[in-house]
Amino acid sequence: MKLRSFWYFVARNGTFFGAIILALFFYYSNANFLSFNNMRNIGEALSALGVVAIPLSMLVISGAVDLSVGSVASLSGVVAATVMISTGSVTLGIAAGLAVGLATGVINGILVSYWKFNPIVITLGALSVWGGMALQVTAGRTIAGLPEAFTNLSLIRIANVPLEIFILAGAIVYGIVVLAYMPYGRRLQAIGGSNRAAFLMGVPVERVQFWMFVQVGFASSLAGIMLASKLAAATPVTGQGLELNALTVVLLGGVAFAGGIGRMSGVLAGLLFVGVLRNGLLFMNTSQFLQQVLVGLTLIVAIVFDESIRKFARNEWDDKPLPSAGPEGQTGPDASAPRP
Amino acid sequence: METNPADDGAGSEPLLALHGINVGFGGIIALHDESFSVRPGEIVGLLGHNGAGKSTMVNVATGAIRPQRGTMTIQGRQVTALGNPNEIERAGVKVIHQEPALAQHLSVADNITLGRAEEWQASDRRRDYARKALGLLGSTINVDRPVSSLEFGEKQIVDLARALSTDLKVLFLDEPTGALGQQEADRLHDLLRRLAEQGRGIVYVSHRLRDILSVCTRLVVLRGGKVVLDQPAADFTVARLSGALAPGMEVADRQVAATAGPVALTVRRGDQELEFPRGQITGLFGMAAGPQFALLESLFGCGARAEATLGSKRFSPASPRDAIGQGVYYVSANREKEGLLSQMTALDNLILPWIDRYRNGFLYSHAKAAATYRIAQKSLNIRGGHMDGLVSALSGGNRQKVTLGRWIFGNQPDVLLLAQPTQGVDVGARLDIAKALRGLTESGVTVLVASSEADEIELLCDRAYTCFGDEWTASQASANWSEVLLKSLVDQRATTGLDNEAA
Repeated sequence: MKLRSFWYFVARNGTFFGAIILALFFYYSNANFLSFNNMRNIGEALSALGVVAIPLSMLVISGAVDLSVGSVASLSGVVAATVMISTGSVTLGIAAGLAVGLATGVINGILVSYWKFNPIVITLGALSVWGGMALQVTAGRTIAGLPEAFTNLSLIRIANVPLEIFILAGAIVYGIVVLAYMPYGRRLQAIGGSNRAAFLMGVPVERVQFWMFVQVGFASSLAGIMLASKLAAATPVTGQGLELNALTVVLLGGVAFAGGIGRMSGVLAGLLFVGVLRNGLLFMNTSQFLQQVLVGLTLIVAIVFDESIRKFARNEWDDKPLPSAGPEGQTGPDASAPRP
Repeated sequence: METNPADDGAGSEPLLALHGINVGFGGIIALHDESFSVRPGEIVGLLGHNGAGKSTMVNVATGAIRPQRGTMTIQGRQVTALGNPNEIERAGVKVIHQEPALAQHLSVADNITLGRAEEWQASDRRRDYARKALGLLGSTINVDRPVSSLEFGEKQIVDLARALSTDLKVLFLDEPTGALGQQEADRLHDLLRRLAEQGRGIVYVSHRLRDILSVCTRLVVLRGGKVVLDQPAADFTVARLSGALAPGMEVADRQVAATAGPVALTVRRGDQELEFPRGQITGLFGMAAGPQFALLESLFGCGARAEATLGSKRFSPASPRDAIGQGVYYVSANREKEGLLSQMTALDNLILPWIDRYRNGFLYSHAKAAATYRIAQKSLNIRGGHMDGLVSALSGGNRQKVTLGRWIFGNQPDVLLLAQPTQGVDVGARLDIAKALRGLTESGVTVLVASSEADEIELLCDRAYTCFGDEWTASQASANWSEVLLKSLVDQRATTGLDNEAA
């Protein structure tokens, strides 16, 4: 009984334990790893990624996916920078950048949620369209010389913690509240689990998912603007690869790619895991390229390991003598469950 | 231990035998040290409530589950590879599930030869092979047709032909008539008798007592993972059998038909007007996949637009959401795919349409929702599981109670549309559901029950329309009502002259 609940707990929170073990390992090789400064570094490195991955995980739970988030981030940064420089207004620039995100989200949402086109096909196209447009607008060049008022935003610190970590914290609170504590979150899970069943229960399936696309678009442009402020420049390739990193976090977090299953705690563990791994490898002077190999490898190992640990946990139950009582009312073995 | 495969006749060695089988999953009971056997020429009816262990027994025998303990022999020879479905299938044990397991886009011939040695032969040879297999069943389905274009009954025949086309010794059928009309079911039963006469063993799993009694030679009843009864079928009547299945619970005395209130809902079908009064349960009886189901869907806004009057207003909902807004709720016959969200909790499944009501400010309130669940649990006698556990942990009958409870306790319905509400549900749950519906009518709700099972109409309804094509004939509850209903369906079929119509 005890062993059973232990393995069940491990299986459900594997990514989190993996991140802790990894952090201890890096700490053992370099005591500075767990210093305040380095933890702040991890937080900073994760902020843009987290801002995208959190709403993206909710979109995946609703049964869709958005592959265009990286391109939208690039385009938003570029548009914000251009508007800022030509009008001299930072506010107007940020507003224009965010408008790009909302608009792309609306387009994806209409095509996928209302017109029922395949989300992978549509957003793969959008990835190319918005990415190409960012390159076209800038002729492939970096836009530098952004107003100081804008680049200073990334330097704001409250209690020695940079603004972007507060934005990440805001995204986390948003993710937890919306997914677990609002009726909307349950509707997302319902339509991702069975669109037809949710439709027959009167859930406005199109509208619910449409708004999730808009939120993802908005979050992508916010991430693009955050990156532009931090780099003090907007490049048409800033967001390249963001979609892959964000999806890695989502899947590492135990969200089912087919939809319907996922918890925000898992996604946050996935985010932590990626942050610790990346930063730790940096600490050990591993090359950028090798980092990418290892992050990808982790995802594959995590999924494989997850399957086997869950199988093990299941056998553990099967070997028990047969009690006549039902399960303890806990979610069954097929519930969402994360990795390593 | 070599045996003669031609060995047959009653009292001979079992074709298949299970001894001392133990199975349990995650604390849920399945089978306790049980044994089971099939002899040549037998049709064994396997019965029990949902969760009694029937499916587990079938799954062990066909290799889908490996038992923790126990042995299995096929024609006296020990099977070493328990839990290996391919090995067991090669030994001649086949299973037919309620939903035929066929590749929809491939032709009939392709489906019959798929995964067999014949798959690699020339197209002509494969089609011959398929024709021969279908011929064994007296069927002449065109082997070039894609399976997706077949009627349900035809698909089942193709599935059977696939099973028969190899060396078949024992055939398991899991709820084979669940989606069939009476005539199709009779045809299937004739076929099974013929297979048994040829010395094969058949195991028939079903909730439909009438079917079981009409075709089986021996009955095995499971309860709580134990075999509680194993006797020749000739010893039983429907009443005795229900008694054995649910001891202490008599088949509910048919209540005097409730008095009809004012007509709440009027539906136009062609030049006929169907009327549904308040406070009564009206049945819609027809063939499997017949027009009665399309009628319910149109009234719920997910089929053709309905031409109807609700109260004094025109009623033609554009979507389920629209219908729900007007107090018209629907329970689909396809519980698993359309009625439930299996990855969500029992509580979520019960309250989802009304979730906006269970709030504190803009946050969802679990406590408020839980109160509704408790009421539903008590009124419908939902047993096992936990409201915060996955709904899929509940047994079939209790899952059905959750789908039904959603539309009764979340909000008082005005009109309740039910498609086969007691299909695949054990006797105890059936009576719980009947009682709950009876209670609803007392508070003036209009209930419609569409079904292709006359028994279900007789159990639940006060009056009914029998439909064939688009002809609807009314009848009132009476003694032997289900025979009356069946007869009226046959009559209509004859007068309409269309033999294969199923809207």
